[in-house]
Amino acid sequence: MGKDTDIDLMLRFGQGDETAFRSLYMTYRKKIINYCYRFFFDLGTAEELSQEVFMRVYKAGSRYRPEAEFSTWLFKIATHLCLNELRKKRYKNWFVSLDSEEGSVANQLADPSPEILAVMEGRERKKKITSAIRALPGKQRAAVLLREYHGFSYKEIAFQLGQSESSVKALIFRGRDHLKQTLCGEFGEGL
Amino acid sequence: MKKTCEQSVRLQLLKDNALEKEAADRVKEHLRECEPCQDEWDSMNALSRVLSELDDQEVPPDFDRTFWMRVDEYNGKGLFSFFGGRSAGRWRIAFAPLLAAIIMAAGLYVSVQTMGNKVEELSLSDQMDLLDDFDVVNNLDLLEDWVAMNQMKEDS
Repeated sequence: MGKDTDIDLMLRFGQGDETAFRSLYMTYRKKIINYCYRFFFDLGTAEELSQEVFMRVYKAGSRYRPEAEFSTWLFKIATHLCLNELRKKRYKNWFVSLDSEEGSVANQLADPSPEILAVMEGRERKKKITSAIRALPGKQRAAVLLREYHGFSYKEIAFQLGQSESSVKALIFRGRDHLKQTLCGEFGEGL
Repeated sequence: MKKTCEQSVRLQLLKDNALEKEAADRVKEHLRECEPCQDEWDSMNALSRVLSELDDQEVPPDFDRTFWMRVDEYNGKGLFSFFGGRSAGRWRIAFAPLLAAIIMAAGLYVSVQTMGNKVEELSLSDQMDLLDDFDVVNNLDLLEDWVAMNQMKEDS
């Protein structure tokens, strides 16, 4: 489905066509859930925020004016909700130790099979990537996620974050640098 | 310690397809010759590979049901649907003149009632001897008027 069609669908929804909204919802719900999930790595929070994103789109209805691609606008709503959520104190000092539980379980097993070890190592790696992303400041995190996982351009990310393109370049550069520094100890010098 | 090259900042722009074709070609040319930039390029691609190791989450089983329930609630099946919802706009337009008339009638009724109280208070001022202490305190302004009126009568 082309992006222009998404704008058409949203405009049709604004004129009362509910099926147009359903189509947009089905196309984007998983992407939005995953974006919110990678912001917090908490499925409950991701679910709540994603529902709110689509409720806002639904409520926008006839007031919607296409000022950017539909997906850019949709992720802008999601980004604002995620950044607001991040500002709430409950996530500020949230830090997960890099000493994983799986690692300690592996140490306790007398002779784990290679398959179990591989699964554990995989989970361990994911946990470290998760911690590294979660350690990024809000706007850096948003910019890196929007670029790396959703392929938005600098111009689109600038619209989503309400920043200039040059600020977005700097945010992504610093975000990647931060991730490389955090992860290179764990994933080798290749980073 | 890794060597760095001042061109390395442009590598990010190349990776993110943010360079014009001519500029991109120049950076690619430089990349072929510069070892620190090759390291940086490999490192950026390695990071993308590492990040792609995170699996996509599936849509939670109750997500759709909860969402469409919220939509239904907003849309007219909820308690306060008249004041919100997508169809509320048309109803609001239809009922707006009626609502305005009700508000005006209510306002008129309240003002008439208030006028009635004033008339009652004025008639009380003519019968000050019937007021007990509590009423006198509550109607000090009327009492003052009454004293002033008496004073004027005496003067005349």
